[in-house]
Amino acid sequence: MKNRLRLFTVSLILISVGAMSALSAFRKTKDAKPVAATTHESPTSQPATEQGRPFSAIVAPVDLPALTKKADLIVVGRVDSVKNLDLITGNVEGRAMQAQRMVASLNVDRVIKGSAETTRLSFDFLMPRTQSSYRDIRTSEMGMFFLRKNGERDFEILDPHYPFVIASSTAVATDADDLDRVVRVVGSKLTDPASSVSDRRAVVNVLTSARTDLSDNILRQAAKDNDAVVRLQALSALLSRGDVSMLAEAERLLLRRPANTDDYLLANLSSALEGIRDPQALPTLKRLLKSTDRNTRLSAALALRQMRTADAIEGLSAALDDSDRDVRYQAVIGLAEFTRQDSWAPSISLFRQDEKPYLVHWKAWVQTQTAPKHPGRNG
Amino acid sequence: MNNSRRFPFLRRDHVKICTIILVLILPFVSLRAIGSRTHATSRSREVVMTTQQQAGQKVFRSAQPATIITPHVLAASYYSVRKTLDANLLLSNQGSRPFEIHATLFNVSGDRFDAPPVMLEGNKARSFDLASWTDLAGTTFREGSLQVRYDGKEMELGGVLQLVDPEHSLIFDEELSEPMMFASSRLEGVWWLPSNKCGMSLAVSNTTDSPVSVLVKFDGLGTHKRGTETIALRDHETRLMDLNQLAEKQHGSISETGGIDIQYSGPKGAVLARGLIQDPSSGYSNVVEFVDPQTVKSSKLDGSGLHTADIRKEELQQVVVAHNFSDSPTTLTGRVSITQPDGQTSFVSLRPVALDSGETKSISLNGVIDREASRHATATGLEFQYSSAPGSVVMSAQSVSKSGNQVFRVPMVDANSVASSTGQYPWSLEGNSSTFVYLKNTTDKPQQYHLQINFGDDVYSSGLKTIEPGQPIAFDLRALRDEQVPDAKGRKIPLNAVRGQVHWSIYGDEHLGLIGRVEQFDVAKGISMTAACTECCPDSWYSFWIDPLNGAAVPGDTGQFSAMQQNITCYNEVLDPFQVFPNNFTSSDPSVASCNSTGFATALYPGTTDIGAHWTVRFWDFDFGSGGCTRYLETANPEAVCNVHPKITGPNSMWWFHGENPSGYSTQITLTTTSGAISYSWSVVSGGSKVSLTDNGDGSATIVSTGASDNMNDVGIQVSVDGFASDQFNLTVKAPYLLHGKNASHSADQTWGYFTQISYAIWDQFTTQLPSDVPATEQWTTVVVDDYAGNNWLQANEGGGNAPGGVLTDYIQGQNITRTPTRLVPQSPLLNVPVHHWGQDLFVGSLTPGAGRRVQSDNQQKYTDHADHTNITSPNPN
Repeated sequence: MKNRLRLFTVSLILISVGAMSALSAFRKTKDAKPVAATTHESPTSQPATEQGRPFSAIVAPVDLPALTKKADLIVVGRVDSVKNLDLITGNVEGRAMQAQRMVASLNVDRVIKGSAETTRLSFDFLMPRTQSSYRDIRTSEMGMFFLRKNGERDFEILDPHYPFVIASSTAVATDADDLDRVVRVVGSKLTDPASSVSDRRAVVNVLTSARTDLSDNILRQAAKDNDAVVRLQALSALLSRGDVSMLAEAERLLLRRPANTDDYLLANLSSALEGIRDPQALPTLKRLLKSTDRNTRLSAALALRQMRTADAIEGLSAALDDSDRDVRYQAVIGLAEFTRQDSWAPSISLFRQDEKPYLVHWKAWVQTQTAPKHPGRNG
Repeated sequence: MNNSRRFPFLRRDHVKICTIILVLILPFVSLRAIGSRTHATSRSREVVMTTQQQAGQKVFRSAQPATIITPHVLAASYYSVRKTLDANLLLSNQGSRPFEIHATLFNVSGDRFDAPPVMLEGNKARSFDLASWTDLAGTTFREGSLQVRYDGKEMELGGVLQLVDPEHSLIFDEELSEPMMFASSRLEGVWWLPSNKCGMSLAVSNTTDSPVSVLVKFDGLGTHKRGTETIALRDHETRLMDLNQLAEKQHGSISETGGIDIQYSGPKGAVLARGLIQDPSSGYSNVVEFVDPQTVKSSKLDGSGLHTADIRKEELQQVVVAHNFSDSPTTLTGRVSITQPDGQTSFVSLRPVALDSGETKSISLNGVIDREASRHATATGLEFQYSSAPGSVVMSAQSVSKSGNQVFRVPMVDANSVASSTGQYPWSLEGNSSTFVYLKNTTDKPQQYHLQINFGDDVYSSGLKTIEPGQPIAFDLRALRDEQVPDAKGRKIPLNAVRGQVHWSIYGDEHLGLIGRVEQFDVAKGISMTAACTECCPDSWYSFWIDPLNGAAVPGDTGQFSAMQQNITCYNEVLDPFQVFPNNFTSSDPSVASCNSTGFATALYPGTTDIGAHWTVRFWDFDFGSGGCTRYLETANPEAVCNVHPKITGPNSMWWFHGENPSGYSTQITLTTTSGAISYSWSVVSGGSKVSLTDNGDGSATIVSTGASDNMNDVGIQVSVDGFASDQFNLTVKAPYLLHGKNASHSADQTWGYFTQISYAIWDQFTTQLPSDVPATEQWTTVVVDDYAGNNWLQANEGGGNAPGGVLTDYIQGQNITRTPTRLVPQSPLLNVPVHHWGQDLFVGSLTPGAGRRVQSDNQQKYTDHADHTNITSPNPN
């Protein structure tokens, strides 16, 4: 038993050492030393993950500006082939684990950023053996690939979670700015007759992270799409970035709550209100404070809080009497932040324990603000 | 002491028995004041007194100016409500004490009418329409003279009688005078007529209860230019002499300029006189003021507030007239002083003027005053010196428009003959009227003054200001109000303020040196009046201190200490505090806080120091014996307390992740304070359960978070450096607390059918989103629960990752196509076919499942076409 334990400990140390070696070597894929003797070359693009187990993980959403900025080469193309190289132990999401090193061959249609010497190029990528959030790359996959240099001529995937995004195969992007070119190639898919509903939804999903004028325009176009998901997600994306150009439509949807609309879409839309900073939205937010939906009222109150302007006091004051405790809390904390009365700025847990003194205080404060100081002759 | 000289009515026999009311309030000062009369003859005695002064407190004078109440009578030579004349008596209570006034009208024959007594409140001015009294008195009282009696201090009541003919735009004003203040039985006056159409009258009245005889000498009347008239006046009789008729009687006319010399029998002050000049056709009106030559102390005459700029597009002509009343020639030298908007004053010397005995000359200023400069001048003054004895030359000055309708009289006064360099006047901006206050330094050295404008219960104060030698200045009250010019403390006169009182006083070792007057005019109506209304003595000190009294600072702080003084008038009105500039500030412990001479202090090291300054304060007491002011000097030596506390510096917030230390979030901070001390003692004075503190012994402490704040800034840290405690340093321990704003999206995926992204904002306990990237993870808390019978879907492994910008996104894949039931791409609307679920907790602060701060518990629910978080509990802190 003791021997077994010792053997287990030694194994663990060896694995750790191997993992650390692989960790340092992972960025230099070519130099990686396989710890397994098997070099499996698969003609297929079938992922090498453990028994086809799906994953659930905390993953950062796609960040198009960051991808664009960090990529050495951005190309639109189609994957010709995917081959397995060797099995290594690499750093996958902060953990050392076995992963299949793979190489894909890409037929390049267009170069969006950087330069490619030929219309065909290959790039390396890593696919963990066990389940992970790394994105599969399959033969005949079409998209816009974000690559970085790995040596003088070789490339590898920039972000294994988002090796590529949806892209139009026909779009011509001549914009001066890299990000605008990327956005245009993605956005063109919205109006491509060949695009499916899923494609259009993917466009909105990808463009949500790109806060540019061009992206705004495409999202506004998407907000008029036939598909409710495309339409509402685009509307949410606009609102969450503070674009109130279609606030009236959002208000209409949130107050009427049309039937046959998935709840999650309306929940997303109400959450998006929290991105509003434009004081012109104050009247709408005050109306939304009267919504029957608690989430809508909460988000409206939060938006008022975040404006940190005297004009928001009226709305926050009204929210002190909301039927929902969390909405009332937003009113309390919003007034406390605006007036910098720290002693009347409870944590939400303290507020939930006993909210009464805070409500009494802030209602009294509101009274002092609204009481006429110099009664006019005409009353 | 001869009481009959000071109280003439006491001589008056047995019928009128007046009571001298001598109320001695505050015996200390009063007794000393009286003592000075018996033991000292000097008018300016200096006594250095020690006042108990304690650091950090205001010092108040324990004794205030004595209130010695005696009867006083003020008189005006002539009033009339005949024809188109209106007569208004404006009385101003210069003190804070209310008193009763008794007005008496004497008709031209000397008959008397006692008007009903009126109570005049403190610091208030009231106007009385004499017609209301003459109506009661009878038709014979439509003209005559008047007297006003009150019991109070010297000059506590000021008054002006205005005779106004609004129809012809004429005004004759007369400042009430106290006959007992006269020093001789002689009056002298000088006139100037703008045209031969002018009429001139001379009113002469007897202020006593006995007959007097009056000898009037004219220079500039009739053929021989010189003539005399002898008048016998019964008690209180008034005689109005038409000088045009008198001149005709002497087969001549009235000269353009001339002088009048009046000598009378009876006591000093028994006769008052006033000349009235008018041209109803043009609207010109003016008065001839008479002076008692014996009250004049120097051979210098000053005037302030000469109008030089155009009025209503009319050019003004400046006229100065002088008459030599002595028996020998005299030479007059003078200059004009012009103050520009930048405060600079230029002087223009005039050619010397020789005056023979009895000669009157007009002194032309044409070409002397640059028209362009005068347009922008803020104030213009006149000063003349004559070579003969004091009082031998009488002058008058005025600015008059070409039409004659606008007349602005400038009294030419001997600055040494006034009681004190002070003044208090009512002001009014009603209708189109304007009020100007003019001051002029009549000496050859800088003088300081303090002026304040009262309106209602509020005040507008100039602060302590300096007037350069010979400089005239003006305060245009309408401009100050309408242009909202801030005072020394940033206050403004409200736009709806229309009346109040102006008070000013010289500030310094001398009680004389400035002259001042008020001028009210209405250019639309073409009328103006002026009055000087001095007070008995300059303002005295009432309290002093260093502002702020108690200063708290931390090393490195800087601040300005100011020397403050508050004065009180000789009528016991406490005035607005003002800043003085002693320029000798010191710190009792410069190692604690340094202080330069102007009071600018820098806190250096924990401890206590006193910031002090010293300057001379003056107390003026009216000398009942000499009629002058006795000065007492004291040294103000106030100190403010300056406490320099140790200063704690460091972040005001930190993070707690339940023992984890994610990059970008401070879970441990260092606080520092003054270095180099002998001893330090750090302590957590509030919120001790949220932090642990380690004293590093070198003026720093390490704070490690151990819990989350309940309130913002609820953790208090204090340090004592060499025994001096710091202020409490507050900080907030923030912690991830809950997930908010669930945002879901469902996308199609070639391999897994779908992938669902569920995003949340990670909130701290104050519902503020975490500011930057933070690791987060999920941890399964239950076994898989099948919802779809016979399914063979696989459970995903739990995994962590980065939550960029405080946004946590759970990325959930569907299932391989080989599994049952078959996964689908997201439908619209979503299908509600659950396959299986399990419990999960979401943590923030680490990539290790279960480590960090739990922010949510829920079920990860897999459906055939999407995934979701259900049964959410957030917050659910560990």
